[in-house]
Amino acid sequence: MAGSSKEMEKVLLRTADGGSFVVSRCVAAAMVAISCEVEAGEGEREGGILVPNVTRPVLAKILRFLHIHVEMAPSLYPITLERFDKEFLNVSVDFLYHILLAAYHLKIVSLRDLVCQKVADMMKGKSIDEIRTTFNIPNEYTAEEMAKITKKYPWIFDQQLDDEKGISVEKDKNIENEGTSKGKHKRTADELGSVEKDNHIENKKGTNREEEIHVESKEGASTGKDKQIEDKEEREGARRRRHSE
Amino acid sequence: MGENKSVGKRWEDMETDVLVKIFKQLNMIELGPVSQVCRSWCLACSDPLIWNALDFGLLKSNFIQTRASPYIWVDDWSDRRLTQLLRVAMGISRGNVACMIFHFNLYMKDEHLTYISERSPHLKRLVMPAWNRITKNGICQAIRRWSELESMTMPTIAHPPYIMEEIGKNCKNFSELKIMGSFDAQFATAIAAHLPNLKVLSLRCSRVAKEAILYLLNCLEHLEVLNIAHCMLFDGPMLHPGRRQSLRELDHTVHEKAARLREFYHCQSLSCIACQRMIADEGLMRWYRYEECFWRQDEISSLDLGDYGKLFDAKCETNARERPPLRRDREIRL
Repeated sequence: MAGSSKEMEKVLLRTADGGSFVVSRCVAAAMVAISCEVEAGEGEREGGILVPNVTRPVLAKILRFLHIHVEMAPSLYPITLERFDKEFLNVSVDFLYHILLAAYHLKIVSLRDLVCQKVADMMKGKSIDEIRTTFNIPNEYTAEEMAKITKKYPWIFDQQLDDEKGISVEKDKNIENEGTSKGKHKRTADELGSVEKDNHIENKKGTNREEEIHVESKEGASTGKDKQIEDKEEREGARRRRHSE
Repeated sequence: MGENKSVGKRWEDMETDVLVKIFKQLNMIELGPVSQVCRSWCLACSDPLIWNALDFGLLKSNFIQTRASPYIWVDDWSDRRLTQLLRVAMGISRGNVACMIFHFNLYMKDEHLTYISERSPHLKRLVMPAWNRITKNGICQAIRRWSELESMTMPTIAHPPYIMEEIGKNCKNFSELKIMGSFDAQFATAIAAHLPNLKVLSLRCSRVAKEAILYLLNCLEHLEVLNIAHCMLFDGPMLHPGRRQSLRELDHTVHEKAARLREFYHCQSLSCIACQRMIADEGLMRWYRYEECFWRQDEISSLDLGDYGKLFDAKCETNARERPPLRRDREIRL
């Protein structure tokens, strides 16, 4: 915990591109990837610890985060930390990329998770093209491939629900047993016509038990008349409201 | 500003581990466009870590009860919506779903079952408490495709032997079963005959014939965990509602036989809420009356369903509930 004298000892951290930082031991140890070296006292030696996979500006940013979250956190309100986090991640997408990669390699779980959440939030509600623009990702699909995707996953492009007659197997190419599944699908459709025979609730030999199970499925499924009426009213109400909008 | 302008390493080249952690924050509707941004993202979107548990516990059918078999009628729109959602999930997951959970008021048809069983060949766990609209053939075919199935939660059905046989034949790693509803000697016989390696069984909040329990405790050598908490127990092998009183307490024979189990859950207490509800509902728990998390609970930790997860969250549920504008389909008159 920050505060004990050992924790407050200073260690030297360096980056491959010439950056050099003096920070508290506890901050350095928060980077789990180098915590062994920190514990072994390497940070106090003249050369300090060379932090891999990170450049000067990125490490500076990360150390700022750790300073707040490790050293200052005990004396800060949670809301202050939240505000800090929000402002902290208000950077370009490129910089975010480097922070995320560094947090991942340096094994700083809290920062990594924070950036992951931020990046995820940046994807919500966007179309494919908008996401590509946001993250500077070039479109690697040909026009043909995009047309296939549009056909295969129409719901991605916000198209209306097709009036599907059951699930069409032909559209999906990504199943291994596609060849057999068509046949099976056909058989199922035929069988649906004679569902009484195959129904797991056999009502040929009407037994007491059969009644019992029927009661079960009724009850287990749901409701007494009351709920049905409630549901009905709710639906009527909703329908009325929609029509009046 | 000091940003690196290094060429080559960009978001499309981000480590898969990291991408998976990002994508785990998104629900399946949000994952749709993300999965088509580029090939590496498409692969990351189908990662098993994301599809470890596909929990549709917030999704219910629009249904009414009917007097004739199958006693449930679901409107067309519900079926089509379910189809749509399953397409999204199966499309993005590319065969990597390990566990699927459905609500007890989600009544799917054979075609839905066929669809998901074809596209999730590595499924290990299925929670499907409503079989009203599924045929014997439908469920058997699905079981045949799920050779890696290890755990299933199912409702009580009239004639269990066929399904137990199918599981026994096709699912070599099957070890965990939960039954919701009632449990009698016929069920027990079927399990003993076809699932001799069963390790975990939960019957919580069901009507149970005591003889059935004793029979299983005798026959299932590998049984390690048994949950009969909050069950309404009856003497004898069969269950006949209204003809006899339920047992007030469990006698020593069951306790003795259960002593060898690693875990044995039993509760018959008038001060226990679940037990009180069983009494109020006369042994057939009406889950819809109680809080949503109640049916998802189980004293056995591997069977407890916990939170809903991110894939189908409240936002998806709200979106799914809004009916599309009136088109060619008839308005359903109730």
